[in-house]
Amino acid sequence: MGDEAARSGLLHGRVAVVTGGGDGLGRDLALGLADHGARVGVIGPSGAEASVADAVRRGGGTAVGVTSQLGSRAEAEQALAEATGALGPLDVVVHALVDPAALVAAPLTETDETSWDARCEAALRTALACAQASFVQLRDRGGRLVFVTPTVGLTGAAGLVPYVTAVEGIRALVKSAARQWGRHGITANCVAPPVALVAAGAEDPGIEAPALGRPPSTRRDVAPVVAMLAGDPGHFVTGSTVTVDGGLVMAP
Amino acid sequence: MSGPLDGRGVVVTGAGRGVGRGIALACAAAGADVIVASPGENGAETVAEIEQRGGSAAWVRCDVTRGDDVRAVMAAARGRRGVHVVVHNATSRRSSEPTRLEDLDAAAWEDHAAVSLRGAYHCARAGLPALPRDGGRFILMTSPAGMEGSTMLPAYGIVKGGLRGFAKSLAREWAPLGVTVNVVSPLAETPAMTAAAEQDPGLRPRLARRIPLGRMGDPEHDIAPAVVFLAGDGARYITGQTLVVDGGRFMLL
Repeated sequence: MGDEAARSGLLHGRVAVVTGGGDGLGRDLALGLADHGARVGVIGPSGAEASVADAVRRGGGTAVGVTSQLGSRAEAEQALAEATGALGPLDVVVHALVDPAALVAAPLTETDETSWDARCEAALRTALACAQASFVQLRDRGGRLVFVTPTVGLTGAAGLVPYVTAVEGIRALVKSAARQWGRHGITANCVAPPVALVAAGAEDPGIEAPALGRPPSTRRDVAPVVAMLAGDPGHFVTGSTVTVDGGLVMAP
Repeated sequence: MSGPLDGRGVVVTGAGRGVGRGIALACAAAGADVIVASPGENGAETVAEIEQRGGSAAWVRCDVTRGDDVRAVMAAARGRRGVHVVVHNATSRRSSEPTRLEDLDAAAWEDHAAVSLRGAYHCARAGLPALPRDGGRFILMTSPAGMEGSTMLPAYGIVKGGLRGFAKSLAREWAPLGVTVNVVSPLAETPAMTAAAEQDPGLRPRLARRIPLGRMGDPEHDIAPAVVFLAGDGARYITGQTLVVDGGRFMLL
């Protein structure tokens, strides 16, 4: 198999919003979900959201970009409303937003309170805001939530105490969301790629090579798993964490 | 008193009641000098109980959300036997308030995050300079809600899940120093549990049916011995782990 992206109709007719879709892993997921037929809302703070939407359209897809800090529930609701105003009713939210500053390794003892907040608690507030804003649109029609939680959450990582705290908090948030919102027809899951896909150069603490011999590419390898969870095949999966790292971290 | 923690100083946050009180009592019984870090007068009651049993303890009034308070606790401990073990057990007073995730407001979230997460951060930062290399212990308390989510307490679940990520990462960060970091997940009969059971009379029987050992744990006699073990020499090769002390309820590992 070459480097070209897989394509499927898994998400044909669905509206999927990707937070943090303006750059990095979020950008590749936005492009990847379009590969699988979704109409894609690209929202995030980078300022490049509209250009990612352009890239989707150049590939024959449908997309809209909304630049938003997503720092509060009101901002998240506003951004989702803008995206779905252009695309139609919401089906899927993929929370891929991560502040690159959170991935800069530093010993906890040299992390001041401002940095702790920026690298840990801000990420949790944003995840919570996006989950709550999603619920507003999905509570009566059901839908799929997918949160990107790199495998460092499972393994821990020296130098990344604040970020990993946020990742594990988000995994717990997703499980509670799955339990509370299941009766609304909402599923909530986590997809765990290697942290290097989220921040170039970040290292996983694993000591071996991936079983499949190479690390994943976001668009080719991670996006299909997100599409599965967001599409019909994933309808009965909720509260799960799916590791997509080519076989490096293997949960007990 | 003498035992496995002879000569050690142990700081326990939230030790005025519940599981924290049980940990303080058990550590004192194991020979430690216990610094009871608690924001309320109940800290003095824990100390009185320890002293009445012949143990050694002191109460330092502490709001773990404030770095200055936590540094003062560590300073007080260093003025006694030192800080060999830190147990961050404190949680928000709102921990047992049932909440819908969609209704969780910014103030309630801030309360949970401040006590559990920022509290852990302050304890780690203020504690490390005092903890002995090759032997220091940092212990955090989590909850089933942090590992499997919760239909009742989503905010509590988020912070307790977060603390496991905190512990695993800090365990790697401090391993070269010989300081271990571990987590205990208790299922205990506590004031918080009592309050939750009052809100929801079906809670206790429902829980008991899901506990293979058939009952909630007692903080001092069922939960705290696991903390004493992790604090002692026998646990020196254990780090980054979650020790589940819940009557067999959670068996996913």
